[in-house]
Amino acid sequence: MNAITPIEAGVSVALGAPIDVTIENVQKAFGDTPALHGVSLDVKAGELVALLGPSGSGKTTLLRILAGLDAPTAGRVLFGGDDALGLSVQQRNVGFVFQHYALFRHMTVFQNIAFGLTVRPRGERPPKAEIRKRVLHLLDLVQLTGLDKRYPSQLSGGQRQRVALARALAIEPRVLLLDEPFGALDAQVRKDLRRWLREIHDRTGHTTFFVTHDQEEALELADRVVVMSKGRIEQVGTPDEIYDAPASPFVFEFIGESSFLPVTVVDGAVQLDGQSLDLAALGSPHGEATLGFRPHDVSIVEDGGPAITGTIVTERRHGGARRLELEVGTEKHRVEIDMPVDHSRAPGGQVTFRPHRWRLFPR
Amino acid sequence: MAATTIATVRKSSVIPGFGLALGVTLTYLSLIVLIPLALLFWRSASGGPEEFIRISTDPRTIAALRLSFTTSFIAALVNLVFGMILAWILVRYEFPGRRLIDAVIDLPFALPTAVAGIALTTLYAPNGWIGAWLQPFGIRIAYSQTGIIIALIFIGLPFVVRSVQPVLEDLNREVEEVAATLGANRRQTVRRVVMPALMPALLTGFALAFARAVGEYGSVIFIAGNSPYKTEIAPLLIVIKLEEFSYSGATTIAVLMLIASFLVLLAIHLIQSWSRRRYGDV
Amino acid sequence: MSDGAFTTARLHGASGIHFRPVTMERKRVRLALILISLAFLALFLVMPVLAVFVEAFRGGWPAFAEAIFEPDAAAAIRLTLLVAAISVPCNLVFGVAASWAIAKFDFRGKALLNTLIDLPFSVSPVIAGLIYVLMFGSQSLLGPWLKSEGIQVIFAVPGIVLATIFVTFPFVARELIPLMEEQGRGDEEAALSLGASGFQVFFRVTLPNVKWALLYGVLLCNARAMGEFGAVSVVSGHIRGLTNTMPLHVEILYNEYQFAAAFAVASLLAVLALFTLVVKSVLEWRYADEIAATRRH
Repeated sequence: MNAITPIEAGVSVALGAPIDVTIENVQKAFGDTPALHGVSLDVKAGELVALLGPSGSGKTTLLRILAGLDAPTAGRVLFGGDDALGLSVQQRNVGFVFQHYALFRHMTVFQNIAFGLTVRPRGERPPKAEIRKRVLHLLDLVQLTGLDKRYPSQLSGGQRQRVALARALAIEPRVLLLDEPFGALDAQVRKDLRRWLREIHDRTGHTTFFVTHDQEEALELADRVVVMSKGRIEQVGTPDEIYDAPASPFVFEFIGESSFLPVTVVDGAVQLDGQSLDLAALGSPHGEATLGFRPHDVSIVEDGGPAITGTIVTERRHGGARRLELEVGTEKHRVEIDMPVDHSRAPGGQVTFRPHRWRLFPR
Repeated sequence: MAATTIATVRKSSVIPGFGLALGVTLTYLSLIVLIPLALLFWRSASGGPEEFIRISTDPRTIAALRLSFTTSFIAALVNLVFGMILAWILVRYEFPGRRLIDAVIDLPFALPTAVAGIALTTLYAPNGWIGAWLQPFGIRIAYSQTGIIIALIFIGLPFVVRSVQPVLEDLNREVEEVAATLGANRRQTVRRVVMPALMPALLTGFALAFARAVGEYGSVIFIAGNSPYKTEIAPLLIVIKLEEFSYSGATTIAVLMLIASFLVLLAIHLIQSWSRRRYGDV
Repeated sequence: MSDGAFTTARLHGASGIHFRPVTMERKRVRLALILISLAFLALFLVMPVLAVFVEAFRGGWPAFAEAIFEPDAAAAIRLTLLVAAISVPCNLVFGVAASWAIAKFDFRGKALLNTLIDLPFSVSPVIAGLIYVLMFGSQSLLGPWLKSEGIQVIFAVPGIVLATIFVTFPFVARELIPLMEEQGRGDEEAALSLGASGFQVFFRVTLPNVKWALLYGVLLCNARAMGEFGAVSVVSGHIRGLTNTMPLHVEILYNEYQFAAAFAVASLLAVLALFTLVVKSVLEWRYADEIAATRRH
């Protein structure tokens, strides 16, 4: 559906220019339990940032601190260079979308979206006709034209989520915060809404944070991904950087598929059980390290050169490839590699391979 | 439809004892509740419509019914306000003694009405603990309509609290948080987001308290003064008619009261099914 | 971490201690609401109960003991226990049968049956008494026959029992039905498939699953049975030593201006009420999950 752009409709959705958000050494503890240990992050105006991590990584806590729903134990948050922590939730002017929508179920879709405008003090409240115009425009934007008189209970999950977004956009927020926005939806609806959210963002240009534990979602949707674990930021980068150059074994394992082997770096060369693997480790410190590679980033070696040899434990079909689970080295470490479908190998046999893309993490 | 009903009965009938259980239930229900109540309606009708109308329109009957309904309504309103506040503090706040208060709320359910009646009378009589304080100001509670309202507040107190409490516990806090991010201050959030969500429970609690109050006898008769046309409640008038062997009088008033409470029950039912239909389980 | 950042957070009251979540009212408002509630409860609940005990012991222990062990009072206590001992088991059997039928089977008219079980809750106690007078009194259809057979129902113990059963009718069923509906039929079907007989299923599977709710219902049923006043008053005839239950005895003493004695007997009923509340609360706290209807009455 080709919705009207905000400019064409003559009603702006974003209030002025989007703002930068700066998070400086934000710490948070619930009682004695630390939830965030000194998180710092600079987000540029109009960026779409994913906070990615497993549950308990502190990503939702960070989002709630940005919204003012929680207060940090220490640290600073700046909206457009101005301190935001001194502002109440109401003054902060952020649009917040909850995973389970949190729609007002006794209000129609129209009343839900109009709520933020109708609670403004009399002097700042737009006239009724203006509110109506804006709500109907937002309904167009989220592709729910004509559903204004429905109650939330009469909508599907995806429709409810779009109402929640329209309601957040209605107050012309300075920052948009989405907490697992697609977490409660079916796989297919998730995919559609993901594309749609990206389009909306490109059109409205809000500085947007969204929390997710779905790496695919984060990589596909975000300008930059913030990978979090145990209350700390593990890595910040573009989807390419996160995927191709993970900064830690945690990121490597969390994003995409991965196999690890304990190795030793001797004079800039990687060794396994004292045997060189013909992998150059220039710049890596001497000593113990972890070699990480993705199952599909390996080549089968048949020329007898230095490589990794393993015994096949299982073999199964995996999408467009054949996935082998191998036991490698004297310690029988388990790793997974992919082979072309036509290379069927029986368990018990030997395979020799060499990763053509890999990362070394000193231990 | 019929076929599926039979089919489901048969399907679930791997569990034994349906015939016995339903038989016991229906027999007992009929003997204890249905037949005696039906007899009441039959007896009130057997005097003919003239007799029914004559007693219904008797000024003493009308005065008693009006008194019962107005005092019950006022008491239920008071319980609506304080029940709401009590439910709120019990669900939302942590303070010492919270659990004790939660338990104490049910006291009116557990304390025999006659005991409540004489205790309240002792407190509010002109020479009582509280009555003596009010006496100099010319405020008279016992032996007046105010006394009746006090007793009805007592017995109706748990209904609103216990109706609202579970709904308030289930209320999603995120809804209030989202209202705040949209710029609503606390008062706007409570008035426009929380209260409408609680409204069906509040109305149900109000209706239950009201229905209970209309039929209440034990706690009221001690404190009421029981003077005809002034402080004589409808249940008391039934007892008086019965003592005068005026069975038609007693049955007529009883039927009028029963119809009223059935209407209240119907109202509760409609409130609940309406709110379920409208708001669903979002 | 720089000192500056830390100070800023502190300055804005962000240190957690001063932070007020948006779902929480201001401290002033919270305090006011709690105080209003406490005052209301003190005035309407605590003071009356206190008054009962203070008035009961106004004459000291000897007067209290005399009021309780005096023959008419003792007879009233015995009658109250007898009435409860008959009516509670009756409603227990009915409650179990009704909840078994409603929770474990589907049949037409189930919703209606559910509603009818609750009916006695919405009938004035006085009317509950009245219907039995109409049914068994001297004016009734059965009256002449009962008289010729020498059976007395009204102004006698059977009438009191019937009226008590009526007003306490729904208590056990009300606790069991929602819980058993929630538990479904899976356990019973599993037990049957393992070869258990119907009785084994009931006593070894169903009953253990609902025992706390059953106790809870019986407790409330008993409290109401012993304390019932209006319905019993209509059918009793107030014959001292014969058809007076404890609440009726309290009324008679009170109307005879024997206040201390009236409150002495009343205090026994108040103790029963407080005991009921304590056990009820303990059940609610410890077995909240096994009592479906914790919050409904």
